[in-house]
Amino acid sequence: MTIDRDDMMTEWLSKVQAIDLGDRQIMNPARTSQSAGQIMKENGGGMTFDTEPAAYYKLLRDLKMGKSDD
Amino acid sequence: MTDLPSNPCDASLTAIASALRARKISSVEVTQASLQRLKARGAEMNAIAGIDEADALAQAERADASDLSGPLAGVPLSHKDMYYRPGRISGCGSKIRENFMPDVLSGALRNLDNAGALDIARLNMVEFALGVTGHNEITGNVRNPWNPDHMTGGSSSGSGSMVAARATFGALGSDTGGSVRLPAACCGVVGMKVTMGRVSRFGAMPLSYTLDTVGPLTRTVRDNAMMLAALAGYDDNDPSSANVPVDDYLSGLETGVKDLKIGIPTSHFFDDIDPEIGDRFTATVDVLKAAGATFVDVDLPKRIAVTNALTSLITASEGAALHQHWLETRGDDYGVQTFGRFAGGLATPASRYIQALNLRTELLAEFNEMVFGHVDVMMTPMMIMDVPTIAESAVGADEKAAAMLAKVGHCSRPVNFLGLPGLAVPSGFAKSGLPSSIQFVGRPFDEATLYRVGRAYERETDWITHAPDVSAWAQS
Repeated sequence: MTIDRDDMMTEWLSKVQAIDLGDRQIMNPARTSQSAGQIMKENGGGMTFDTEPAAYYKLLRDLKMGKSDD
Repeated sequence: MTDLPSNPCDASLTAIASALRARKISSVEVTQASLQRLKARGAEMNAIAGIDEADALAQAERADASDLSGPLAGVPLSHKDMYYRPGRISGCGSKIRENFMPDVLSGALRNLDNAGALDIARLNMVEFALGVTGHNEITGNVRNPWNPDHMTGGSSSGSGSMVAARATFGALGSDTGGSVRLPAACCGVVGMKVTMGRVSRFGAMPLSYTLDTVGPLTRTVRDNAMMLAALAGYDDNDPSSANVPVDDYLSGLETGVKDLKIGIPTSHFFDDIDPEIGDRFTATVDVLKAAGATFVDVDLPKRIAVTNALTSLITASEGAALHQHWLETRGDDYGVQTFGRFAGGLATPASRYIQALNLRTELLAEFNEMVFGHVDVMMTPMMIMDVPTIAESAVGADEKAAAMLAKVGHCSRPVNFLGLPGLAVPSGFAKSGLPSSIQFVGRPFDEATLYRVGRAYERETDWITHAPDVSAWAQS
């Protein structure tokens, strides 16, 4: 499992976790050797200012209706 | 109407629905046959979460006494154990919900009820639907009817296994990262992952609010289209339900592919592909070319390569939010794999999770222009590897496990991230004797064209006539 400061996973695991994880295995949620922060930095995550997750649902509907260029 | 086979379970959903409407056979007869197979083959494959025989036969008697007017009237179906029906346990493949009794009727079951279908059994699944291999440390692994040493794929493992074993005519699955299409691929049946918002998720166990979809697994493309025709539509109870018109999935099914342009992606979907699987894919392309389809290469957004990881990230983060209380209070009641995957999601920064969601809009717009600006459908392998054995894919929650999960979901998860429809269709068998499968990906809400292409391919081959010899495994 790869951990970097960006994800704060190390700190979370050692200090702020609410769960006693014991010696259980914990999987990187992205299931890669990269952290969420690295993935976002390399793929333009967070670089579009005026957006929100709900815009995705509108785009799906608009593409069906042929309104994507509106 | 052609004669039914000696055991009605060997007929397709389409054929049995037609025979029932014509009263060539009764719903009680069909239901008894299905119950017998579910009990026998379901036990051999560890696919059954629960059967109430008396209730099933009472449903069948009511159907026989009715005017059999619905499109699925009197047809017995069985579903993944995560669709809520009041007064009936919905165990979700878990210890934590093994006695959970819902008080609402799921939108999907309601629509199937309205079409006249019977609901006669609950099918085993991956614990809380979190996993693409089909393993379940709580209820045991479901076995693949083509070879029980091999995985079924997940998370709709029982659905794939029992449709393939000719024990049920069709089954609901759910697809968050491939959980309809991968069991369909591993078990040699047809599976539809619908456009986000196409089928109600109300009363379906949640895993990921933004990725979960409900879809059918069946033996044939036409059967699948029939089930989706009953399932699709707006539901005010589901906040993510899309109020857009539902196409007629059946009327254009036999119109062929001569006017269709199919895109083959130039990146991602063939990364590290097993050469034999690659050869099988080429053979499927040749079949559709001969049927008149035009093929062109399509470039994809470079960021498609990261959608596998982002789909996992979103699923783990949203799943962790849903499960945190139980992770804290009942951690030992989870399987090792499930706990490790959910707990990892607890540490995802909220900002990164939201950025991942926002990337969906950007990538969908980019993908739509680059692909569907040029072709009607994109075609890919469903998996880049032959179906692994249960032992090969029985991994914990470490780095090796992460690599295996990423490889199994390599072709499925990008479609979930984009929210597009994807249809898995059997494409023959590998040298191992295990099924291979292709995936057709379409424009938003264009499931109808996927069925059309899938049916054109199915018509040119005889794969759907092959059935696994389950009795051979029972004796081994």
